[in-house]
Amino acid sequence: MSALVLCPKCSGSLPETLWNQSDLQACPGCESSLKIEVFPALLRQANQGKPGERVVAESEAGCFFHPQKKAVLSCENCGRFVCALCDMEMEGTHLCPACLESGARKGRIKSLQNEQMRYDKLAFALVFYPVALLVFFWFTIFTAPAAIFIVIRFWNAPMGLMQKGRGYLWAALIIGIIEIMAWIVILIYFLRQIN
Amino acid sequence: MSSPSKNRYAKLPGRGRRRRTGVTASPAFTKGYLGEDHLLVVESDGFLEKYKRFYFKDIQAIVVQKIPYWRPTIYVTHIGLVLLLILAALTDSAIQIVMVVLSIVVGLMVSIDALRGKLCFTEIRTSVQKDQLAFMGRWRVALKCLQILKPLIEAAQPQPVPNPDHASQTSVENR
Repeated sequence: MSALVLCPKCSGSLPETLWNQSDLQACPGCESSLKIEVFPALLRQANQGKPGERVVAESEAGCFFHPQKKAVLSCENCGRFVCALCDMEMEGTHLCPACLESGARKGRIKSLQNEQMRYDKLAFALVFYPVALLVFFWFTIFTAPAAIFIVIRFWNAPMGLMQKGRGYLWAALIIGIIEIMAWIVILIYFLRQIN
Repeated sequence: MSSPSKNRYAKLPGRGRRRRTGVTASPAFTKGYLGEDHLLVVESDGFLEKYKRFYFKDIQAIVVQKIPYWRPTIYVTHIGLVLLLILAALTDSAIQIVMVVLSIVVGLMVSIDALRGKLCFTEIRTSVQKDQLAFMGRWRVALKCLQILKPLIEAAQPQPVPNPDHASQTSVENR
């Protein structure tokens, strides 16, 4: 059992006597100081996947994906009959593999989302950094309209799992409008000077 | 820290980059968030966020390895700082100003690193994976995070850990 937890430095096994101690423990292999927190899941037997039962009688409903397997329930999204093997439970909902895949692809199942482009941060960076890095302030003639476009285009798009509001989008919109107005004022001033 | 509700996350202390043998191995910053039944690790390289979920019921072990302060990169930085100070003392005019500015910058970096505390390497283990928790890259932060995570993981996994020493100790105490 002790071979289950390994030292991150030397990959040597850490004996049970070192687990869940309040003070630091030295690795028997490399002497590095370790704090080892082990939880009951380590000793839990891995659950076997449910096998699909074969259809015995002709009157029994078969799985949509495996017609020879007995259907145990229907997909809560599309209604297809699924066997125990194809039943995918996600956030308390039973789905078929096809609906699960499309849900993950379209970002409808939050717990399957594994990446997100932060357009709000991008829009904010476009209006903020050229001004913050003074020398590049004239970039805003291009970046401010681009930022406003991103704000409008992605106003309703999801902005990450931890998003609480549209703070970055509002900030990008306000700063972008100010920058465009500043450029218009500068342009008018120069035109008057030329005239 | 407020308790997280469904689809809401509470931020865990710390942030950091992935390290290998004490040296930064990735430019992406990692942060930890506490979900209702899982730990969410967010790796962000500017505008793209990548998410990894570790469900409390699946976490088998968290191992934190304390890294001593005097590691090779710190030796190099300190030697560099001393060299810059020597050059600043020996040179004059414009070069001296450059050396002094560089010394201040390196000195500040060294001081900030020292103030942030000792480094550590934290590894999380489930039955199918082993991963680094880069946001728990400082010893103090790692202990704070463990204090928050441990009760949640234990609550999700009700069976007690069979630790022979610990078990015998508690049984003696109970008697």
